[in-house]
Amino acid sequence: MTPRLGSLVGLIAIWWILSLGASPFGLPGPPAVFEAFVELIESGRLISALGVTLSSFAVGGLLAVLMGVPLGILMGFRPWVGRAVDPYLTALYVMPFSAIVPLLVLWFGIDEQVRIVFIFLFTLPQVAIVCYQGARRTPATLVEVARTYMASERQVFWKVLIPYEVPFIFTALRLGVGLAVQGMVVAELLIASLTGIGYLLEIAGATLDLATTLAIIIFIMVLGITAVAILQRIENSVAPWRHGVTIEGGGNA
Amino acid sequence: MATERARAETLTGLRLPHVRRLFVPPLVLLVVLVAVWWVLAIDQPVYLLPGPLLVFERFWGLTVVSGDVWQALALSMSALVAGAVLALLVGAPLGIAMGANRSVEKVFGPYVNGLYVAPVSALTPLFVWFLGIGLEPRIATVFVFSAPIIALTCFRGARDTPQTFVEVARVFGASGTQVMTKTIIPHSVPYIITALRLGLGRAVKGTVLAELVVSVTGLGELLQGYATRFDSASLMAVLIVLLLLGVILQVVVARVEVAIAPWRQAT
Repeated sequence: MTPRLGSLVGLIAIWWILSLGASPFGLPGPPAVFEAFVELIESGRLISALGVTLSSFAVGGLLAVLMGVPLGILMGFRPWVGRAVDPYLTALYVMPFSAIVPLLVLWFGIDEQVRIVFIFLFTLPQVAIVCYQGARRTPATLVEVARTYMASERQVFWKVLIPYEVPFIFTALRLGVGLAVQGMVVAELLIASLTGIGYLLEIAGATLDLATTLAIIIFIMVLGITAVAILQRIENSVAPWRHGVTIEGGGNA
Repeated sequence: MATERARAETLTGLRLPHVRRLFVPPLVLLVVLVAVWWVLAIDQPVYLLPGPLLVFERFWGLTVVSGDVWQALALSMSALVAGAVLALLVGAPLGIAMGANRSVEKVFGPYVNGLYVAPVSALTPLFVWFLGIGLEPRIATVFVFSAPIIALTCFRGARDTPQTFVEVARVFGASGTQVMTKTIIPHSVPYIITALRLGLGRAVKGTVLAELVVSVTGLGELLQGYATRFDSASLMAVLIVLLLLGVILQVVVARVEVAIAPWRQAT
């Protein structure tokens, strides 16, 4: 804890020193950024913008989980579905997704709808892939033992596959939330709208208010990190035996 | 007949039933998807949903006939390569140092992890502010996208060096530098290749984002241009190029990975 705290103090100190010699349009110091942050909170601008942004985040992310988890499980349970869909999911996962924004804007305009669709598409492949990996890795011996004891297909599904899958669902949730936040930020940056965090950033940029820009950026990044950290906690308490085991994840834009 | 088939199998290195099992389901799905797309596109105006044929025509035009896409791709690649190389040069040593030394890990670990999960695209306005709208902010974007995953993967490689190796080296009187260069770094090599693959995957994403947000050039410029002209067919053709770019980069580096360290299963 102490080296961690020390490095944080050191980082802020370096930032402060760098900001001292800067021009008014250069790097603002930590106090200026903090002041800007307080101002954003007190004027209520950050909260209202956040409300708009987070609602599309929540709907898009939720849709991705509601569709991605069953899709991944189905792919694992019926291997031919898995083999059919997997290459396309992987391709979508590897593809630079921000490129699809211009097309989505043509289809859905620049309102909340397009942001929801983008966050959904951004998050879905990762969620489905993690759930697929979990379902596919169900040890064959477990399934065979169940079959030997005359378990029906339905019983194999509910009593073997699903319990084995649960921790992977939590991993998928954690990675999904991380991605949905990233998708949310990309959507805010790329889709010119008159509400939300993206608009706040745009105004701050246009008025050359770097302190406010920095306050918003730091706030968003801390928000993303916190959300993932909370889900990591939940994951560890649900499936402590998988602690430290991670599935390669994190897509970014 | 049988010998024919055996010959085909030795030529491709794949057993035929295996090929059938692996490639038929995705191909069937592809045919179904394209058919659905085709039917959906019949009633739609071209600017909303162009049919598969038109998109393929545009794809052919962009890649073979006019070759516009190659010029754009070259522009994109300059930022991508510079950013990825920089990320590797910074990320790999940092990751290995973190893996070899716990105090280095304690100081840098939280930031590397934080940058890995944080929505780093939020940093792009900052890059524009400080670096302008030329090549530099795009390189910086690619860098923050790919450096964290490279550092984390190399960290795993160095940290997972079997303790016995390190102890044996110490018993035979290896110095700290020798332990580093003769056990930890060799053990990390395959991880560095994996790091490169994961880093490149994110680098492509960073490149495209930078070309849309920071400065409109390369493939991003093509995308924006077609979008403002409502030329959905060409837009989709560029999307296909990007999809192929992502997949090809991954496949190529994954091949290198398997060749260098065949005992490690590619993840």
